[in-house]
Amino acid sequence: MERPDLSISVEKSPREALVTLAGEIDMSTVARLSATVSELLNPAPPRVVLDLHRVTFCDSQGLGTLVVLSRKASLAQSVLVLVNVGDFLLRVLDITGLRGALMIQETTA
Amino acid sequence: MADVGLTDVLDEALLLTTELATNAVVHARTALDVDITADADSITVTVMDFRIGPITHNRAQGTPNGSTRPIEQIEERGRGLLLVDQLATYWGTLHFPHGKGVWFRLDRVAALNAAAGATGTAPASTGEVTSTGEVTERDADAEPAALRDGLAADLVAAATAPVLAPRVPALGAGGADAVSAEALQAFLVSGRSLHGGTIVDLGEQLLSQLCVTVGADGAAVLVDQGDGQGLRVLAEHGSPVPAKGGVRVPLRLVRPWQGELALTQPSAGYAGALVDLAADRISLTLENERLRRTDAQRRTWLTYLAEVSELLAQSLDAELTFALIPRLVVPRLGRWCAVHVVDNSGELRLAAATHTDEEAMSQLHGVLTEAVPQLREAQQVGAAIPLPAPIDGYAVSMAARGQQLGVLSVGHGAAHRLDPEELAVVEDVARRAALAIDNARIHAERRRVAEALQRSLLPPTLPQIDGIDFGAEYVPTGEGVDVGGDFYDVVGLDDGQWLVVVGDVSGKGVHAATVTGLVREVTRTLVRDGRPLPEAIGRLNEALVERGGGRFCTLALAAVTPRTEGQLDVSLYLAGHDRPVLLHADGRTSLVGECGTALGLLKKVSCPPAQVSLGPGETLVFYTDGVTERRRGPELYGVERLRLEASSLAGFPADVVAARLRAATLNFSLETPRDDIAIFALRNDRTG
Repeated sequence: MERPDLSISVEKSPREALVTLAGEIDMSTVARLSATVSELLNPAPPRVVLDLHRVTFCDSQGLGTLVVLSRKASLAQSVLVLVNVGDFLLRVLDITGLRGALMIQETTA
Repeated sequence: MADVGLTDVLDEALLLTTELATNAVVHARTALDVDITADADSITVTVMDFRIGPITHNRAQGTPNGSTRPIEQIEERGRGLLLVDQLATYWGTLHFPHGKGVWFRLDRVAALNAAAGATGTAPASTGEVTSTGEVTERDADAEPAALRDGLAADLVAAATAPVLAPRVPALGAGGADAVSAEALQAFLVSGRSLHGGTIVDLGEQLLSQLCVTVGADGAAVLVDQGDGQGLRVLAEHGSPVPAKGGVRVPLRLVRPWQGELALTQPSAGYAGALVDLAADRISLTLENERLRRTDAQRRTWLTYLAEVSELLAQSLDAELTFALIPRLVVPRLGRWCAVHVVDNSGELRLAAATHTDEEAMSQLHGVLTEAVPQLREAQQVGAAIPLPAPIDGYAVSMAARGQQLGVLSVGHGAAHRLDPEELAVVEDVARRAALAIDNARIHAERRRVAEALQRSLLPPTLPQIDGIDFGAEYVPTGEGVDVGGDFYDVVGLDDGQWLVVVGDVSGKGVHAATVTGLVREVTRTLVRDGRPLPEAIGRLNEALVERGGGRFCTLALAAVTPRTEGQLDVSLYLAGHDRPVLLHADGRTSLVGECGTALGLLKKVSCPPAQVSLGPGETLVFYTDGVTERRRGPELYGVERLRLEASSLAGFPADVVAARLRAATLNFSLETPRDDIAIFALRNDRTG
């Protein structure tokens, strides 16, 4: 079976940066995600939206990275928003107590 | 997959396996082994690495279900095992010589329940599914993503490979029964909760599973730990179990522990075997606990006995030892304790007693007085014997080296009897106490002998002579158990002369004392015989060489002759002795005398005399090396300090001079004297 990867595409607008993710967020892909978002924050748009609609997997390393990125965004006077978060991922966020720490919205507004 | 419903747990299984694999890759950095076992209802995954050491468990500080903490404080990592803990039905760790692992098990129903969450959806029945499958995947150097791909395939394979296998036990038709039986079985066969929760937790969980499985309303585990408190409830579940009836299974425990598993009448017909199994499981855990406690207690007692011995060994005073014993026993072994000793007439005498309640002391004394006949009986028996009410305690004889020394009695009141282990400790304490008392008595006896011997070597009083004032001080060494080698003497001679003798025989103890006696008597005899001092010294030397047993002696001899003009003429012979201090009336000091040979070493000695004239008010101070070699750490008291101290004592009577110098010497250091000390002052008391 071919190894699923994480594909990252970025759309910038004056209001926000939309990052569409597809694939798996784990140990081997978090570095790339982190680098991409960090770059977007310089200079920071008002908000950075991560669309997780096509994310098939996210482990605790991935969650940790989302927390770090969210922290970085708020330090840069921006906001990291997660949209289209799957049910299972929501449950994991509940279990790990991270749901309250991340801004999660239903869809791209 | 869908047929057997394992898709329900696929997400969880993938996530948890990835977490464990990531942990292994990050922390252990070794190859890893993933084992997957699945059947229709559950999947069990074990991830092993090949590194020995603790399982890394950096649990993040986030609280589940919506943390309100600011994001700055939230940890980035360390949620792997937290997820395992939250999502898995069961999980645990494994340790092998070559590595360690974490396993988790996901039950399909449990997963559904968790997903259903607060909505309270009833668990779906699994029905009569009997297919099990087993697949083992070995993946060296797996990366999480690659691992996951293989894993998904394995899961499908495992779930869809039906193998008929007997299920244990053959349970009723109800789905819920099957589920809880499954959980119960997990309890019975796994080591779970043995290390995690307490016995009570385990008991309660087990009882709750048992009740559901066999259809009982309530169950309880009752245990009597042999501590006098009887059968008590250790764990219970559901409605209270009546004292009689229902199902009662004794627990297999070692006395004095006993207990039973009781439950209300179950509805299921197969209950018997399951209850037996559950009873065995709880027995095993309790027995483990009993052994652990016994072991811990034994260690505590050993430490206690070691402390008792150490404290008793420090006391060499019999009375202090008596007083110490009850204080060592109370409150560890009883509320009160008393020590009776056999006195000289063979009667039992109360030597010491203590009670946790001071106000109860007088009552205790009364009860003890009446109990003396029973205590006498106890003396005849080697072991502890119980004392009946009103004393309510135990008495054990104290004997050492075949001698009855007394009786130790101890009590806890009627409410609490000592258990066999505590009794054994009491007997042990009594033995140690008896030895300590015996040692203290031997020590006291030895001290008495030493004191008697020492007294015989020193003149009981100094002669009172008109015009000549004598003062002497003697300090024995250390604890006073050894006879010292220092001595002094004053001998009156025929022609109005007086002979002062100050000496120091090498060594101490009985042998030194015999030589001291020899020197003293030979000197007396020779000078009384009218021998001139040089000849007497020669003879004494010969006697010491022949009979001194290798010991030698320093000696200061001073023949004092009063002169009509108010002077005292002193002929001074120093056989290896320190030069005495001449204290002038104005406070000046000087060292006088000619050094000669110590006695007992050479066949010929030379001891040139020195003539000293003591004017009125002048004092000659003799001393032994116990004074000059008094130590304060590396520092010695020395002659110069002695002279300085003496210079302030001009004009004082001889006994005051000696006493002050003694005090100054002793106060120089906090240490007990290593050597005995003798100071002799000879003062011209004439007015001129």
